[in-house]
Amino acid sequence: MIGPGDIIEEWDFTVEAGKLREFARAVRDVHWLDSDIAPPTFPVVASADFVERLVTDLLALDRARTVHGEQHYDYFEPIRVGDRLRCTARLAADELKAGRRGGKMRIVTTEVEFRSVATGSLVCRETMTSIEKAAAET
Amino acid sequence: MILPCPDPLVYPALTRTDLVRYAGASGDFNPLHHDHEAATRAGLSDVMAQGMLSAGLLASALTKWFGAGSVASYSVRFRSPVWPSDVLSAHCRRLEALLAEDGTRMARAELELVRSSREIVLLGTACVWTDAVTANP
Repeated sequence: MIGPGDIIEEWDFTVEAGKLREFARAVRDVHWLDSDIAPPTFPVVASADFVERLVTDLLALDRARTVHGEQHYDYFEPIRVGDRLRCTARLAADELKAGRRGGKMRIVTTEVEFRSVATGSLVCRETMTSIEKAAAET
Repeated sequence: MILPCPDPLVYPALTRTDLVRYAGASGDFNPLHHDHEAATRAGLSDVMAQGMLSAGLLASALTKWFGAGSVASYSVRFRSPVWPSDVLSAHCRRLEALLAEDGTRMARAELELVRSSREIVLLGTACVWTDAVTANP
């Protein structure tokens, strides 16, 4: 059972030129053809597999009633093609609150830190809040 | 000091292909974003755009206005689902110059991603380092 503050997973991620370009094009970044700097939300690519496991397996949220509430980024250095990042995911908060239509809604906040494998310096911190709405009364 | 806001950025109407392109690019393969049957089973009228596609589009307005690598922080709150054929536009509603603790010139932007019906689908705030801001104080 994972609790707030616990490290959930650690993994490494390499920023590939083709993946960065594919992502930049998908979000209509005007620099997509020639920039080697990642668009601001590119870290989602590094955490996609983790988020999938987190939602479906580790937290076992019901996807049909789970919505994405908020996303926050702090950037300390640009993420560039060729960077190798050590990604560390922590559970920041896991709370139950009374839903507006009865029942309990669950609010889960996770934080992923991205550090340069080469220098150890913090490159980016990504914080995500998911809300599982209360189940319908049966 | 309040700075003039950059012009809004209007995106072409969102297509299902845009959603699939973002699914592949981001790795978010939640079926609610590309599988119509899964979406209707979950009570939706159609496939719903990924929230982070909207967040990515709004972030692309930032990099167009202030340059690649200009963003120091970026936060979004999801307000309303986005659907295929929605026409979205990115707006900077307020831009304020500020000085970081180390003396770096920055600006704080209040942002909205808006549907053509003028409904806000995404609220954002960002802090940016910008040549535009430092060059044109």
